[in-house]
Amino acid sequence: MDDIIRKSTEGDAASFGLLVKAHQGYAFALAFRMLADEDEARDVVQESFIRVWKSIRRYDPSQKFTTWLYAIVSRVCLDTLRSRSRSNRLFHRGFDGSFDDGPRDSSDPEKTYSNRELAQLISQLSEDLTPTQRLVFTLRDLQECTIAEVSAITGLSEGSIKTNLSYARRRIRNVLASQYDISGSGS
Amino acid sequence: MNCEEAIRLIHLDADGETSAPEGEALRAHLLSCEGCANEARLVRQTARTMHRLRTSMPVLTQPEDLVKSILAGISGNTPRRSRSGSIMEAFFNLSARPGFRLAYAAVVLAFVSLFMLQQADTFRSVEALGEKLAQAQRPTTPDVQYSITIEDARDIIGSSELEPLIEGTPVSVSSERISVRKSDLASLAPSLGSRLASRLLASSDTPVERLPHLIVDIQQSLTSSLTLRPGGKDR
Repeated sequence: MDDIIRKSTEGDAASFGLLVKAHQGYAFALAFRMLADEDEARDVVQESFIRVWKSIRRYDPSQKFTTWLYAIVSRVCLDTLRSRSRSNRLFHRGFDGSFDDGPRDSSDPEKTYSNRELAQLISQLSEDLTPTQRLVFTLRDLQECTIAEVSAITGLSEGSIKTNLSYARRRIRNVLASQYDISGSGS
Repeated sequence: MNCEEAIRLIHLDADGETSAPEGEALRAHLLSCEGCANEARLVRQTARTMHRLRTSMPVLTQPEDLVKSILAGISGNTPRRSRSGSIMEAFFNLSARPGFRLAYAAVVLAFVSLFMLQQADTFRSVEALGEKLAQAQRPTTPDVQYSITIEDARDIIGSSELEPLIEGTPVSVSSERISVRKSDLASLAPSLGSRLASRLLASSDTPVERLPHLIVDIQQSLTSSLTLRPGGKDR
């Protein structure tokens, strides 16, 4: 991988193509989980890799490439979310209040969601989250990054990450309580 | 077991971190406490949902097309060469060097001085232009007053005829002299008569060659011959 990155910095488009192939799935997962929209996620991935190409000479090899890539994808996602918010379409595929299938079916915990089901669920869970809360939650709880990695990607302090994460988790818990008609003890 | 302890164990249990005796005690509590039972359901449901979200990787369809789009997007562009980033970053890096601020101040001062000099030139140019315009608006030749003494005038046309002749005309009369403006002389020439007109004309200091239009006008106006005396003065 180091060789592919080095050749990419020298302007080798073929090597860069290999770099894209190796990482586009992870970049797409992050973008999709942030935006809950397949088309927008594809656009974000495309824009992010073009930015990677333009600034790849600034990449510091002592840093994990995925951390650097996630930082770029995250910025493009935040721009997209804010743009979406400005155009008053924050939840343009907003949740309609019920799942078609999948999420209600709890008999098989290993059942995975389709893209459409995932988009519905993520839209519902992160409906009231700010873009930053959504980003921190996605990176920490879905992409399973460490707090230190989230800090490196977002530039936020650990304290800020924990505060945003706590709010996001509480909100998601309340959404699920409402969805499943559960009145918890509020711990 | 009280509810506080039960809540703590509910969260541990969701992570599979309770011992067998703790699990037994928790289950017993949940059977008798509806609030804690609801909390346990919610924690389990949240954990299940998060697990599914984590394990359900969004599927990227047609990945090859996305690679092609990206490669098309970068074609014609090469990675930027500067490691220091933008022009502004380069400027701020440079500004940290010793002597840069002094040199920068000198350059700014030079530009300000140059600007002020240019402004001064502009002001001078405007002033000169104003003067030229004022000159252009002034008559190219002053409206000369021609005058002769009343005594000379009476000699020419007779004392009794002078007063009726000039009455009601632009000819002004003082105690000693009669005067007429150059611009009026041509039109007055026929009524004043050739001799008086020529005498008035000859009173000007203006050289004859500078009065071509007036001479032509007078020549056209007078039927009799008119004797012009260049540069002469009547007194």
